[in-house]
Amino acid sequence: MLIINCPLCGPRDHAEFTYVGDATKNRPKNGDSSNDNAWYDFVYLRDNPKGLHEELWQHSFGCRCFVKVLRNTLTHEIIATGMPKDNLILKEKGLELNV
Amino acid sequence: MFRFQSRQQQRLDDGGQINRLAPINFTFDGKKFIGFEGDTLASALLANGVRLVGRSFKYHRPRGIYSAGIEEPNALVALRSGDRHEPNTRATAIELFPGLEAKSQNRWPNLLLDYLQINNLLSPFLSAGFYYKTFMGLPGWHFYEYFIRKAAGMGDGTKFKDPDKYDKKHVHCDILIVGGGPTGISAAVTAGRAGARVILVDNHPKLGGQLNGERYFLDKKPAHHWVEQCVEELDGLENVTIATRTSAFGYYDSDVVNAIESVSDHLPEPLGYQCRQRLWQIRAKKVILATGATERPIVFSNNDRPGIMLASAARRYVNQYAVKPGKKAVIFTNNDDGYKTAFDLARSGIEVVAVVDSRKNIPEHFEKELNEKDIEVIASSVVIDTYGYFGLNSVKIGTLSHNGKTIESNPYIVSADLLAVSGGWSPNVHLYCHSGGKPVYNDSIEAFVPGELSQNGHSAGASRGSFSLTDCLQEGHNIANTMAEALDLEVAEQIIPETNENTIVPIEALWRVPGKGKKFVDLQDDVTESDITLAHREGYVSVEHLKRYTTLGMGTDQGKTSNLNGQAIMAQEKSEPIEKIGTTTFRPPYTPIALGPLAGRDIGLSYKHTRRSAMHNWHKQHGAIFVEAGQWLRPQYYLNEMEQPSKENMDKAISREVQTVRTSVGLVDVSTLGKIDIQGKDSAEFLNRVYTNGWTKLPIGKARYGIMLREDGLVFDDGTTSRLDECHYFMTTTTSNAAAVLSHMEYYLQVQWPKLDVKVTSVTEQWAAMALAGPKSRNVLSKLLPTINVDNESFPFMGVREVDIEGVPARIFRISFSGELSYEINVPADFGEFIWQRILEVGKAYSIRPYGTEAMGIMRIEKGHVAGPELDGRTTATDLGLQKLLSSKKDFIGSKMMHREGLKDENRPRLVGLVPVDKKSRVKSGAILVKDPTLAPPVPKLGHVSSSAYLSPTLGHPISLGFVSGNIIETTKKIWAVSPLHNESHELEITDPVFYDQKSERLHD
Amino acid sequence: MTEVNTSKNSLRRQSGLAHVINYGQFGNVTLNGPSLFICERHPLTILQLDTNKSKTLTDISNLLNVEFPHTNTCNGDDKRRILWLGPNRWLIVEPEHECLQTLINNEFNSSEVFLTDLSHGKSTVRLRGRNARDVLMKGSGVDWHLNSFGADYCAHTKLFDLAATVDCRDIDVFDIYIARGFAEDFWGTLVDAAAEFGYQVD
Ligand SMILES: [Zn+2]
Repeated sequence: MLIINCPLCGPRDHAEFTYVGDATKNRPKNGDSSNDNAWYDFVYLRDNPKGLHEELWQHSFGCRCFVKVLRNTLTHEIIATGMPKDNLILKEKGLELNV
Repeated sequence: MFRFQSRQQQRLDDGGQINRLAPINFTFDGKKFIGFEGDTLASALLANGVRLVGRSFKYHRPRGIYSAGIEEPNALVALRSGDRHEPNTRATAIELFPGLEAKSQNRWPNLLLDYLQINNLLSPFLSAGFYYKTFMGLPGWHFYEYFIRKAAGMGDGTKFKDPDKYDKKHVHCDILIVGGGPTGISAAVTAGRAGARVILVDNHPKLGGQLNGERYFLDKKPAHHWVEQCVEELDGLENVTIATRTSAFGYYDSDVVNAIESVSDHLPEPLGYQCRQRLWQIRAKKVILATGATERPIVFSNNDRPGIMLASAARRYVNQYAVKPGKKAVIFTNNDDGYKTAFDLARSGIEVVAVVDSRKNIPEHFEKELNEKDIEVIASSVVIDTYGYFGLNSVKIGTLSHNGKTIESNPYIVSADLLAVSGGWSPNVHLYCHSGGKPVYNDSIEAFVPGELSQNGHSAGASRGSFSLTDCLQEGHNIANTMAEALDLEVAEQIIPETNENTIVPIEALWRVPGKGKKFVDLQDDVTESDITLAHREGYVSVEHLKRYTTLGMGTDQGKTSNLNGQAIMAQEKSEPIEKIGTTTFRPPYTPIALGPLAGRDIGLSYKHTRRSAMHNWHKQHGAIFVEAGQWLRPQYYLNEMEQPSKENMDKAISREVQTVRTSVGLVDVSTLGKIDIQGKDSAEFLNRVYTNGWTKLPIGKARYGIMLREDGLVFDDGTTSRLDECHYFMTTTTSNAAAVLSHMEYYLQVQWPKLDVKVTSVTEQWAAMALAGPKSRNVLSKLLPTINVDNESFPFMGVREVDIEGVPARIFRISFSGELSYEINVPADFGEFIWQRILEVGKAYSIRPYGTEAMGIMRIEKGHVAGPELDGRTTATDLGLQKLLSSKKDFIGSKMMHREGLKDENRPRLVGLVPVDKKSRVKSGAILVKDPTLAPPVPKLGHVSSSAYLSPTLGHPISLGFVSGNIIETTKKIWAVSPLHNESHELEITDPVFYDQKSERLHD
Repeated sequence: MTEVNTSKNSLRRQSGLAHVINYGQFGNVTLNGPSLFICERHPLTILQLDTNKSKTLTDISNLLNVEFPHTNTCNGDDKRRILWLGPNRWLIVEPEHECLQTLINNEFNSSEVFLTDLSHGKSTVRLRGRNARDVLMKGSGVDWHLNSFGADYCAHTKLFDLAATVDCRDIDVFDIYIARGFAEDFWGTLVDAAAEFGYQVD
């Protein structure tokens, strides 16, 4: 079991959350036909990093907020959590992606 | 009292931690015995002189009690009977209770006469991998497997339902201490005094750990005084919880430790309302692993006879249970610990024939006591072999050569019925390993100890290789204070009591003794030294391979007494240091656990929660047969009072319901549809982005049908949304996607478009919903609403009205799923049953009938409406014939990716109607559509059947919806549906998906 | 426990628990009496309020005479209770009061305050007694210790596998809100978990 610290509700079991997906992907603006690759990247392309990864979870049994989670996929350690707009990697300075 | 004692011939007259005033009756293999309160089954059997308790796994060799704890590899018994029968329980860990019933296992017909001991004589053939090598290649493995598994094996499980309850509990603490021995107690006292929230778990009925099995003195008083004093103090601290009979079996991520509390295993059966076991999920900030160490044996010929046991176990039997495990004892040791056993046995009146010490030098500090007790020490010597079939009667002793590979001079035989073996102690690093740690080898104690820290679980005392009592007490105190400091608590004082123990002298490794005969490494799995050397010769190099090939450590004891010996022998064979062989990965559970507490109360009907509509009780009382729709229970159809459930009556009921709706009026419970309340000034803009069609022009008081896509351009869900007010909308979703649609919308509002002013709330449970459908539905409605004009002009198709039905506020939507004139009536749920009944009363004049999901499903297929089986996540709007709902004037979710090449392929399967050519075959949904059913595979797939109505009462024959490739629709009119699994094939005619009222006149008038 | 009726419809409001509640003492009730008391609170008016304007919030709080609570807390009493639900979202709970929505709507602009009636969508159970926290501990991984979850705290959590809101009304009094459709199942689980302590249904 993982314990995820909801920025609002506090530490809760991961069973209260629903995994949403990779939090590093940005949704391109609609309507621009020249940005096909950006759309493929947003919808389909996912890295499978060994080490730090920013994920999005929803506290679906709690406050229903979407929560960003910085997790080490190797050890399952959760290094930080925040709201969707937060950049956790920058916050945890010194940590590098894909360690 | 004397009467009882007289039958326990091996019981000491005084001492021990048993209650001689509380005798307990029990049976073993049907024979009656008496033990005392405080006994384990093993100590009570030994007290009664029972030495033979089981037969071994593979060779069916007689076996006895080998240990005094959970590490027991031999004494596995079947406990209790009937529905509480439990196989493979360890006699050494079972607390004696009145009426305890135990049976030996793995013997037939009985322990003394076991026909399968022939395996022992056949043993030259039964080496590692024998069964697989011999039988696996043969065609009849399935035939042999049954007999092989029967011959080798453990006890049988029961087939009865478990009568007991199991519970779960989630707990939190600052510091969790696993193990209530000297280290754990010392840590608990310090942490408790520091004010930390402490949980101390121990798997025994009382705290003390190793102190209970020794004759230690603390501050010149027997150690139990100190234990009792500490327990009294801890009991008085509100911030400390002591959980005895609670076994921490796994250390998981986020410093979560799971433990199982044996609530009533020590009782004949649970008391009223008591559960049998309870799972504790412990969320700790810090964990102290004070899990102690386990003694390991030395490998020599015939080292498995009843009467041979671990030296510390022999000591515990005399000290804790006041039981003499034998009359004449030989001690075999490679370290100082064996001497402690020699002294304690001698003190209890057991004749200690000799201490056989493989080391050259006898520790000087023992000399005085050895002389006092007149105990002979034979240095540089080993036990070479043992004798006695059903129990040990003599031991062969010899001198070891300098290189340890041969026996020098003349071995000799001494008579003894107890051989206590000490090969050194291995720290219990299991929980440390679960937490993600990698143990490292420590030469000075010849064992693996915890290495680097992975989570917040710190080992202390014997579990990190500190075997001296003073060290254990001090380390417990120190680690607790370090943690208290880290938790911003005041550090606490504790005066560590003075101990009477002698300094520990380094062990000299001795893993195995040269010689012939069977030398068991793993007693539970009957793995011998020769199995390991064979594995080496056959090229197995890593310990993981060794384990799988020989089954070393694969038993229920997980090799607690055998793993290290096995690894060491492998290392010797390879002439490499042990740490290069590696240690096996320990995984939870630390000890075998029942599945009951993991399931808790999530069993039977409680396995998943059931969701009921507000009208559920009415349905139940009026003949509804229910069907599961996700978590919901929905009426599938209703039987008349006279009808018994049967297939014929089901078909009759469904036809009756469809015909009633088509000709008159029916009422169906649609409360399960997802309902979402949408408010805020940007609601219309948001709907425009979520749905594929346009929403800005929808007037107040009107509903509109819409579909949503996923980002990848495929259809996600459909439903109607109504505009209740300027900035207030009411959305419905399919039953199955209700939660997913809400999350989907919350995601866009919170993550992608946080600037939109829109609030979404699930109101599924707030509203009870029912659809009043049929040509006479307007008549019923006008009677319900005498003051409101409901004619076609005033209340048109897709109209929405907020009204009052007999004082109940209601929302009525003129929408249709059945294809008939229909009104969906929503009322606050607490009024659901009341309004439902009122509608049926009013509708009596029109022969109204409630209808279920079957009739509803048939009518929607007749009408060609898509539902779950069509919205299966693989279809586009165009596939479903809904392309006109795709707005080209705006961007919406999926509008970009729906133009991908593959989604625009004209030959994609498209929605069609399908009718069996014979007008009577029942075509299974899921059947594959092909051109010719007689072709040999691989046959090109042209589509599939998605939904089937086995009979359309309206049309008089079966109908289906399905998907057929675009190019096929153009060129053929007939196609075959095949279901190879059912060996069925039917010829179908391809038709329009709308079978009924193609112009939709019925719902518009 | 039936709240005071202030509504013409109260007689016909049927609780989601109407068919499962048995009154009396059950389970391991000792000579000292039950250590748990369980009852349904019904009929209630339950309104969800959304607003992101702090000025508006102050005004509503003046109108209702209860302050809007901060994250993870509640304010008020049995007559009017406000629970924090999520960012800019609260739950107002009272014994049935049909005019509450109108009361607020009359005073405030509908583009600033958003109300959603959930009175019928939630079932409310009150759990009271010295073992109340022990029962909660069986169903959820929230830290229910008094020091972490005292009076006027609330938690939205997974309780016995269901989405639930737990409001600590007092040291050993808890109001539990769950979806109406699961009410019967939840009740069965709750009383099963309470049986070892002995409970009384009022
Ligand atoms: Zn939360």
